[in-house]
Amino acid sequence: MAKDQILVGLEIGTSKVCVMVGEAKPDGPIKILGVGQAPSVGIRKGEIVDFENVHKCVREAIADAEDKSDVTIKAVFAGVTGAHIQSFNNRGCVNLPEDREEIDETDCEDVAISARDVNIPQQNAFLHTILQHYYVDGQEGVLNPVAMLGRMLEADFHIVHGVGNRIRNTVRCIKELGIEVEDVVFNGYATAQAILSQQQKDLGALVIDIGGGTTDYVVYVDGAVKQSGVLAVGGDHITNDISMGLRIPMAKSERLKIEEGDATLGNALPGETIFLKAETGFAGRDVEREILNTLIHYRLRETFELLKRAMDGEPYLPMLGAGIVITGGCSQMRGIGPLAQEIFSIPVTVAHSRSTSGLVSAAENPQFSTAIGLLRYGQAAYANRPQKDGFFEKLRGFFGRR
Amino acid sequence: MIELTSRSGSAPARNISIIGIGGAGANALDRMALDGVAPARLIAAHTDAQVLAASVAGRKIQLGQTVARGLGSGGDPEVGRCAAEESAAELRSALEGAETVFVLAGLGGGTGSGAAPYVAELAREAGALVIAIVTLPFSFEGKRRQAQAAEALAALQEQADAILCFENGRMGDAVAPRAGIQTAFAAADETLSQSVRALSGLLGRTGLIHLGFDDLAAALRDVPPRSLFGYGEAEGDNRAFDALAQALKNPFMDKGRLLRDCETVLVQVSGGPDLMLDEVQLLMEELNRSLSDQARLLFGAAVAPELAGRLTVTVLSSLGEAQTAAAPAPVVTAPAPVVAVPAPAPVAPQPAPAEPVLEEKAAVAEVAPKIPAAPAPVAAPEPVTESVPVPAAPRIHKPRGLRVAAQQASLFGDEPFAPIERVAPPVPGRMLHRPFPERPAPEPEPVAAVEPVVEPEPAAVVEPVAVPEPEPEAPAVVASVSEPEEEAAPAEEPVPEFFAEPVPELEMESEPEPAFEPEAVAEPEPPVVPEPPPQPAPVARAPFRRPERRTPLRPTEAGAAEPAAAAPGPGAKAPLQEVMQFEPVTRGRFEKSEPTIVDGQDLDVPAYLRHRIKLR
Repeated sequence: MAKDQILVGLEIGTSKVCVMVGEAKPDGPIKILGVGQAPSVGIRKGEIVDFENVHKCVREAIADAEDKSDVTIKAVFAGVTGAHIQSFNNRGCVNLPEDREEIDETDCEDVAISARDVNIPQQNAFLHTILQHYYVDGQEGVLNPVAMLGRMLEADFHIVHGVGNRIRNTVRCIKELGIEVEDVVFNGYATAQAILSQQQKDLGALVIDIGGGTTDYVVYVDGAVKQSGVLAVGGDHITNDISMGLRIPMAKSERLKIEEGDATLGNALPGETIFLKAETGFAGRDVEREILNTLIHYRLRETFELLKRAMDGEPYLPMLGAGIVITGGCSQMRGIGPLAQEIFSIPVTVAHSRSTSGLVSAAENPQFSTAIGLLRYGQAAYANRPQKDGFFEKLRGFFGRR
Repeated sequence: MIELTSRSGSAPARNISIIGIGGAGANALDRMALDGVAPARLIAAHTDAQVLAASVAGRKIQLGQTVARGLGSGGDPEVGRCAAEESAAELRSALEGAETVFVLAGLGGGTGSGAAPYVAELAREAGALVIAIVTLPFSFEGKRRQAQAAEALAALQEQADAILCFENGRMGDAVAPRAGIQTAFAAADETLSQSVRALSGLLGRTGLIHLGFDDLAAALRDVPPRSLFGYGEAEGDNRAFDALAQALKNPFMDKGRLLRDCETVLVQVSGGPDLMLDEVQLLMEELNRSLSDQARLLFGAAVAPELAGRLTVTVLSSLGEAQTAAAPAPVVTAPAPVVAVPAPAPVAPQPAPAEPVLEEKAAVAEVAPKIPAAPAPVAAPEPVTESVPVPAAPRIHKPRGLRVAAQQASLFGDEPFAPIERVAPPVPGRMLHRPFPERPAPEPEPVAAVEPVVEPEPAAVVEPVAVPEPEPEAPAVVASVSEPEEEAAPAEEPVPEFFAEPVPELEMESEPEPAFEPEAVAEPEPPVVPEPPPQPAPVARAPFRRPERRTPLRPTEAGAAEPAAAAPGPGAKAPLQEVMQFEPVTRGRFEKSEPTIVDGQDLDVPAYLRHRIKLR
């Protein structure tokens, strides 16, 4: 187990396909060896809408990553997202057999299986069954019940599921390149692994990953995932709003958004304009900065308000000791932090992934939070997986607390 | 009339001589010969017979055959000067009849430093306008040469009407440090060559918005002159930007950074008949970013058929001890008439081959010079610009009529008296019209006299603004712009009409203008538009209505593009915007994707539409 493990995270995002190659010791920091990227074609709101083209993009990104990291990629952890992904909390319960009092690992597996014994739409498949807490004979706060004595083992789980075929499409897209998919991970969950330290997870935090097509969020309270979800609104929507509001082409508004956009209202000088260069098919023109900012502001404000409304159904918002952490490509928008803070009334930080080594520049870009998170997920999965890779051990590795 | 016809017919080409003195001057001259600078007499003058022999100049003068014996001057300006004095007769004959003489020299050496001031003196005695274009030595050439150069520069200053002075030291920035020395010097020569070409173009080519020698002098007024010069030429869709980028890339510009410290900046934009107003506008807006708010901007625009499809930008300024806008006038008065004479001349013939419409227009052109003729005897410099608008008129080309007309209108900003008023506005893009506010003060009457000429129809010449109807667009612009110049009283009536009538007919192309002119109107004289009640706002409203009528889609764009100044005019605008919100909702690029419905709202519809946010 001490040997360094090569991990690869593959995120098929709305704006880019990103392959992150890293090297990790079970508990050490991840060393990033290389990042392969390709602009996405055929992805809308985090989901594949043009398989052929996505296939090409993935191949391109993988080749790029192999090139840059000098690693032959055989297996990846794949991230998935999309509005179809849903989650809920459920408690599983296992009664120990009469002749046994000591809780063993099999019981832990069984309790997870029992937790998943709920009705989800037929076409949906489980993505994650994330352990929150064990209860042994009603005793709360058990972290690891293995080897404890008890009659009844219960456990709370956060269960993430999504439409099976959509998830399988992602897997198929990768497998067709002759690359194994070690696991499929919900992007939001992966991102949280890259962004949050254990301490932040224990204190409680909300991670908001605003990407190109979707906004994924995960709530950690007491070190466990309590809530997660996807809002199919992202940076592309901002671009679309700008494009429609200012009547300029998409590519122009995308650049305008990145280069000049600000989510703060009233930040522009009165009458301040931004000049858009003339190009073929586009007569240059002036764009009023305040209008641009207004468009961005209201889209982001709405996004945050929708998230807040989703939070309001649950009691977790006041329990976020570590506040809110925003990441993802769109988190680079100027003024996004204060805006979120205004809406949630909770301290907000804009963050990129922490504690990695190697290609630090990649880690410092919030666009790569998810990809790095996939590496962390993989690292944790390997750490919990004995080398002999028995079936149950493997399962335990997946469902164990991370 | 007869007199006018003859005048426009015999357009005497401006007589330009370029004399390169010394090694550097000869090199630059060669470069120029290769570049094929505007028709000019090229004269190489040097003490070194060998260099002279290698020169491709049309005329070669070996200075000081006895003093220097065909060798160099050995870096001694005294020798240089003596040599030049010895060859004075030859120089005089070479310079005879020249109206403009460019003296090119590299200062610091013997021949250049010594002979150049003397040659300038001779040229001046010959009655020519003398423009010296010189380089200062590299700092590594030693203090001695620097001192000689400074001395020569001071001497030149006494003789030359204007000096363009470049520091070779800056050449280091021009080319990559590792570039071959040949490349570096070639770059220097090229700059000299470009500057001559640009200046001769500037002086010789009558502009729509004319820049005369007065402007040039104003731009180069700083006493220990350190000139900034940039020249860019480009073609294609983005030519305005490309040209400006090129101009600012010039090392002497330090990528436009140095411009920030300049008090007076001269800019000339020239292009073919297809030069568009919005190009000029874009370019100037872009340039204005590099300028300080206090900078005085001398703007000129010219159309030359030979530039068809291309656009050139010349940016010229100087840095020096702060010398505030005292008075270009005195400097100007003498040379101005010189410029004035040839100015209208080349113009008239130009349009002739270019356009079928011209017959009428030519007539206008003919009439035109008459007008300056009247005031001419009174004030020397005036004729220059007054004649200018006139040639502009014939240049109106049908398709671009509107633009040109607008440019033309702003011509009035170009009388020699104008520079002082043409303080560069802090707001970019409006400088074309800025002059107007102050305009009425200096010269309302002659201007008024010129105006009618601008009208495309000869008929209009007789009766001012009121008549013209054939091309409704053009008059609209002309009328509105020219308005503030007059005392506003006479034109007030017809103008609103124009505003109202041609408006719906405006084409896409004309779009930038509405944004333009109302401002010009609004600032100086709000009451110009009679119908709407409040002051500046209603004026600004004009452009709003136009796009709206044109296409239903426009309003948003107009709203977006509308400068803040227009904000207070809610009367007409507010309903406009609201109407827009009732348009069927669109989801833009998400039209075909799976809708995202949350809480009954389709999140793919722009947030601002669903929340009924008004974008001014």
